[in-house]
Amino acid sequence: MRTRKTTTMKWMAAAAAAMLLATGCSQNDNSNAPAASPSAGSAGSPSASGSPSASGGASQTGAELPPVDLTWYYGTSQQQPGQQDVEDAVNQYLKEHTDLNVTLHLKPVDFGSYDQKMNVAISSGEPMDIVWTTASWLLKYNENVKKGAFLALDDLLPKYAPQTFTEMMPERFWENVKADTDGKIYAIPSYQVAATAFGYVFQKRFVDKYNFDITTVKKPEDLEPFLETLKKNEPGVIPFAFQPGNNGPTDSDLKNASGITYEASDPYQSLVREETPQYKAYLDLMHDWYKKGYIYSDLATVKDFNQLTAQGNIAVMTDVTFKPGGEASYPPKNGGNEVVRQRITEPTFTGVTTSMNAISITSKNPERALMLLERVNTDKELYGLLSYGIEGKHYTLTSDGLYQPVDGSTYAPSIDWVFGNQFNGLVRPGQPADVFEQTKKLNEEAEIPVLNDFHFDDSSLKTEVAAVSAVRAEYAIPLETGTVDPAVQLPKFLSALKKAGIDKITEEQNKQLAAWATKNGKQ
Amino acid sequence: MNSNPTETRVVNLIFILLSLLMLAPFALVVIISLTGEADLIQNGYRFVPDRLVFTAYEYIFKVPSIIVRSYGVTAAVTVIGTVSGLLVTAMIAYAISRPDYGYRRVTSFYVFFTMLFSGGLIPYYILMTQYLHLKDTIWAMILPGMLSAWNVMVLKGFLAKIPMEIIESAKMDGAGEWRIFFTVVIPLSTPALATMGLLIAFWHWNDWLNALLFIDSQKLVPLQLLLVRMLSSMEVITQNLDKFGIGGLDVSKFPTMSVRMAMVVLAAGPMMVVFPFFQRYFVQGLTVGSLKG
Repeated sequence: MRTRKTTTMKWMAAAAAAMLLATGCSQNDNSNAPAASPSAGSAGSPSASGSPSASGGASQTGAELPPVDLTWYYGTSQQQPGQQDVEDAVNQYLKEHTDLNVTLHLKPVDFGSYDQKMNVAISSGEPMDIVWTTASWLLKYNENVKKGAFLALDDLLPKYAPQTFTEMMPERFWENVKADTDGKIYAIPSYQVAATAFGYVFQKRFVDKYNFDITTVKKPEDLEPFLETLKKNEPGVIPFAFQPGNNGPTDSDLKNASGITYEASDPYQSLVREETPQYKAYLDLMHDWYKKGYIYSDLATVKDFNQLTAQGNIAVMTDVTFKPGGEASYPPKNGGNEVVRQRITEPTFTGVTTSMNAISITSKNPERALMLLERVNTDKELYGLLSYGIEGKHYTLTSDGLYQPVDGSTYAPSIDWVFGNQFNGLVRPGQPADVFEQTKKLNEEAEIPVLNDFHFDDSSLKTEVAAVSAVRAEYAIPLETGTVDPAVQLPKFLSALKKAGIDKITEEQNKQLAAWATKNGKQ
Repeated sequence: MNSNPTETRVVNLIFILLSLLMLAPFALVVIISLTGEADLIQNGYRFVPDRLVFTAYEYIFKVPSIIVRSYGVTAAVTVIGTVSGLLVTAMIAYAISRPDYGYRRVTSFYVFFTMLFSGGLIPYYILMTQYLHLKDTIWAMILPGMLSAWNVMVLKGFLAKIPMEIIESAKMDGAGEWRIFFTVVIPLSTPALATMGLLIAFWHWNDWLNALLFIDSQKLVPLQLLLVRMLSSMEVITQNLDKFGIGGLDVSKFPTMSVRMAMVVLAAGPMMVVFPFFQRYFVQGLTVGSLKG
């Protein structure tokens, strides 16, 4: 009798558990299910249910739009004490100056926990409207498109965000936003720097003192005389250091795009970077510098490079983005020392997907969310409110119209590039007045790599890809910081790569490259 | 008992060393929080700094509203969570400890089962947000820690040692079940309850995951989440500075190492003060079963 009872209990419990699981899974696919939500205030909206394309009713311009509540989840650097003031000001502005009839709920999540929090929220089908996403950093765009987290915007963009779609940035840049999986657009980029170059940063005091002409630096080797002078005459100064991994290109003829390393003369032939003579030559140079004491001796184990730079005694560093006006960002983190920079590569287009805002598939009002984003991308005042807070309370404008947060400002998150088109923002002190024009020019003139739209499909080689990246993580930093002797370590690195299956990957890359080239009529 | 003096000394020495090993990191945290940032950059971490400064604490309390509010939230969650949690835990543990309760085995199994199987994070999140509608409320931090199956099982072990005769005699004297529970059982098990209360209080004080998942409003951020945010965001930010738009991000405005350590001290401090008060009960509680048997 007792045993039978226990067994029954077990079965019941198991059934209950199974039901829990089942509910959890079905919630994933069934995005319309939530009974009530933080945005339940939108009950009056006729488009509350159903797909966005079916609910075109809200689009009728001129007619009064029903009131809706929208939530906007985005990453922030630090929680701001003045957040509520800004949200109130934004809503008041929306009410008085727009006919969107939107009540916006800002949901800033600190960068450190953004992934964790949003992944759970997305997996559980939580109702959300606007969700911030990035290409390669937090809440990865393509991964979440694959999961079905976002709404495809191709049909909605021209209708609800026409200016953003046609005027914000050159139309060809939208190619870059298209998802790997199906080539559709799932997010609106925050237009900002879209090209990078590589160069060196020099502390101005040393450049002036030793009369070094930085324009003579065209390749890493050209730094040598300056580093030698510094080593000889400036005890206590680190001649050369950089964030481990941020070495820059090893040779100007060796290109890298979409994860493929190739000779500039033949983009359709994937190479193993570590096997090239250029890489070996670069490592020899770095090791030579290390032995001579030019490179910071503990560089390979530096975790927080900013702590090192804070001392202000690194004479030469690398800059892997080379943003226009970037000089201004150095003194505060560099012990107050001014810097000058010299670029050694031509700017290359790297994409507009660094920071984007997508519409969640669970949004009940995708049209209105898009209309709001359109407004943020085109209305400087609204954008300013979100990015910098209330003028006079959180920031002031200098006489030249530059952004100046007030002392102890309760709203200065420095994340204007999260919300939208950064060219609608304010210039900071220290940046050249025409920094936006310079940046736009850089973006538009940057060379788009031949392989920019090529995506390597590594689904058949997952194990090899993981093994290779583990091997690289183990060997690359000690070698590239010059810490270990390449004559000893490089052969080990190469044999470990071979064992990890690098040849299979290269072979597959070449196969796909050839197919891609033929398909796109190249070569 | 071994009274060999050398042996005692060696044993004492081992324990002194062990205690130092545990104390040293925390002492270092306190000292870093009191060291000036310039000294930290110049000299690195040191047990004996050149001079003590309070700039880190001044920085935190410059805008006191955030930290004071967080203290309030954490304190409220801990107090409400501990009192209600203790009550619920004691009640269910008492019920399944009574040999004359018919569904004792079934109820025990029901509690025990949750120790082996759980729905997982996503179903938990769905339950909390879509069925219980606890998102962005203080209850999202209180309810999940209210009842722990483990605590129930431990407390049941304690309560089962209370002789059934005491309960029966109380019944003879005309006491109802509620009266027996509150005036006989609870006073008899104070040491066990104090121990349990301390564990529950620690759990509430240190919990930040529930807040991370369910709290959006800045007004409900507990202390530990504030700390986690400060520490983890810094790391993410420094690794991705190149992605931060045209102007970049001015890292010099961010909490320095001494400020971060000062936060650690502030977050851990109150619990370290509370612990010694409970310690008396704690030792008693651990051995209560064997003593009364």
